[in-house]
Amino acid sequence: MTESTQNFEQAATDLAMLETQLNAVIIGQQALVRDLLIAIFAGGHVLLEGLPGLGKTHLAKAIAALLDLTAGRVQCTPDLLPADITGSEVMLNNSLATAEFEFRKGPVFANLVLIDEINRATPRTQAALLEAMQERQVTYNGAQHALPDPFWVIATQNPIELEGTFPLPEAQLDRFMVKLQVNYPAAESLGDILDATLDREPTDDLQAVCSIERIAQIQATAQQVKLAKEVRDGAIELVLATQPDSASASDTAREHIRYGASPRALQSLVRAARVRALIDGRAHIAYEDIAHLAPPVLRHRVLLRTESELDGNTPDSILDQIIATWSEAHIG
Amino acid sequence: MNAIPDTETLRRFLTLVARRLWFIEWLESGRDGLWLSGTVLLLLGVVHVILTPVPVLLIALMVAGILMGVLTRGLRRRPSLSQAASQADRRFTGQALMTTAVECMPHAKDRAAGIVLEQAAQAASRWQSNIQLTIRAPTRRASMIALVPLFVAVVLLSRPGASGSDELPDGVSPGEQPVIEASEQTGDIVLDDVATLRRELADDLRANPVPPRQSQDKPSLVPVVGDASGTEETVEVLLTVRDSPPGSSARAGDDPGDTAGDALPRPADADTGIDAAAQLERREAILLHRTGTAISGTGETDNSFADSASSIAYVAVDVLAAAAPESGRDRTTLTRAQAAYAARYLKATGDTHD
Repeated sequence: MTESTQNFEQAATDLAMLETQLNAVIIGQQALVRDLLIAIFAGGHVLLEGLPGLGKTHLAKAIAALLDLTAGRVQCTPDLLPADITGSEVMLNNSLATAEFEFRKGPVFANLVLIDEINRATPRTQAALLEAMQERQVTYNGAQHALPDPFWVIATQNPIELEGTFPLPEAQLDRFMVKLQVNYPAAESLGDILDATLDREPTDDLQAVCSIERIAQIQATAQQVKLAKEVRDGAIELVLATQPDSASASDTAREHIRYGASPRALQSLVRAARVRALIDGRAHIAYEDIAHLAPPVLRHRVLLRTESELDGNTPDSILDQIIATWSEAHIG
Repeated sequence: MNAIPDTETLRRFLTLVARRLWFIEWLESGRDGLWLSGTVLLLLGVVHVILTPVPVLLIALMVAGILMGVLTRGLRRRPSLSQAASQADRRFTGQALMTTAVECMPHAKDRAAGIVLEQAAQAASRWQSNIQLTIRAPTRRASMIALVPLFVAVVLLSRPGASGSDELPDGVSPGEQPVIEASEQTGDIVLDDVATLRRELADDLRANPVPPRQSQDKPSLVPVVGDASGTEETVEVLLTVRDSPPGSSARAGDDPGDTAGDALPRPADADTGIDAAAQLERREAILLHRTGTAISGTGETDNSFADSASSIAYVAVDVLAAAAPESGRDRTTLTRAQAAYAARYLKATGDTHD
């Protein structure tokens, strides 16, 4: 067995083990766990949307514990200030004449930051996260402060009780690699959930199984996964199919979509597909990887026409049609 | 240093896939060729039965052209390795493994490329024995159905074709020309038996006597016909009059209204049968002109005589006279126009001519 083969196989093994550990803690959400792992190892930020009580915060904590990451948490409220997230300068002594100021880092200075109910924070506070998520740094009073490496943001939002909330702007939504829907677990899983969480917090017992260095190695291995030209062209074709003004736009997009996916979406799609191929033990990206990851990568980047929304369509329903047509042509 | 993976297994597999795809492409092209040739031949068969006989050469050229097109299309559609890889992925559920492996072949030393090639070689070993089962040829039923129009076309083309009627005047059908056959060399009509035609003409004259020539009323009429009583002797007399030497009272062309240019040449003056035919055609034109135009200088057009049986009889007799075989010759060649006039006369004498 060659060295490179060993690396790939070991990476696949480590990822499989992580997945197993997470599924033991987060019961009944296998698909969600896999997609979250894919996004994390692809280096992307995650937006979790689900009803209260489905384990979104629990999931973020479990990830941080298993990956031996420093974790920060922000509970967003309408009165939350940007400095509450990024940090601020404080005066070190009481004398104004000899005052010294020190930048005190905010909760964003962690490997994994959980932003709960991000849609409750004001747009000003939401904007404070833009630089952090994109540039991996914070600028305060003209000084730039680098964030830890690796750095992820897992944000959650509630799809109900939208009164008094502030929907995320398109610019910020585009910075999340994936938007994952957290659904109700299956009925047969509820018993297991009860057994596991009734009298204790499962994340308290979690031990780290993967170091930050190992995460970097796995990410480097994922970057070597091959992308065939034909598959690359297929991914481009899929993204263009969502853009209504494109020559390659699908009829569905022209009818229902106002704004389609951006080139950043294409980058996110390919990066995530690499990790999915690695988890499956492959050294090449398949059409199936693109098809599977297209919904979480594209659903928050596609804006529907008002008429289409009033007709009851959702981005998921429209994307399902586009992806089905694309899969028919490329997968069969 | 990583070992360079073996790509021979992969190449062999993809070559077999490409050959299989090419073979299927030929089969499908052949089936398409059957459909196309069957359709074309069916159309030709319909034309052959309804309109006009279709030459065998045309049919052969059509079929040859279609076959050449089919073969050429099959040759041009030979799949490349990349195309074979893409089809293998699709049919063997390879998840783009073969497609990626083909691209990795030039970079076999690369670590990830090496892994892809290894995995592809393993998959190729597993799939190689199932190529024919997985890449199936088109069903025989589809090919058999394509034979149906071809069969129908063969049946139609083997029937006698419709004969062309555009050479004949209106009202004359092929069945009424039993004694006329076409000469393929000259395109002229050859009378096999002039005597037979003369006999028929005599019978017709007997049944439908030609009115006496009213030369005083229509001085421009050709003083050709004498007192036609419809007997065979009369016909002979007519012809004899035609052949009488110059100076005779029945000399053709001696008409008060004749000009020098209207002098009618006599068949006896002709050196060859072809010259006689050309001279006769000129005479026909003059006769037609005279029988259809005004007399007595009034400029009035009198067409009452134009299509009557007697005028046709005059022309027909001239035709027969001109067609009198020269000594030593048993067969006489008529042009198509001459034969048409003769046939028309024979037909007209049996019709209620208005």
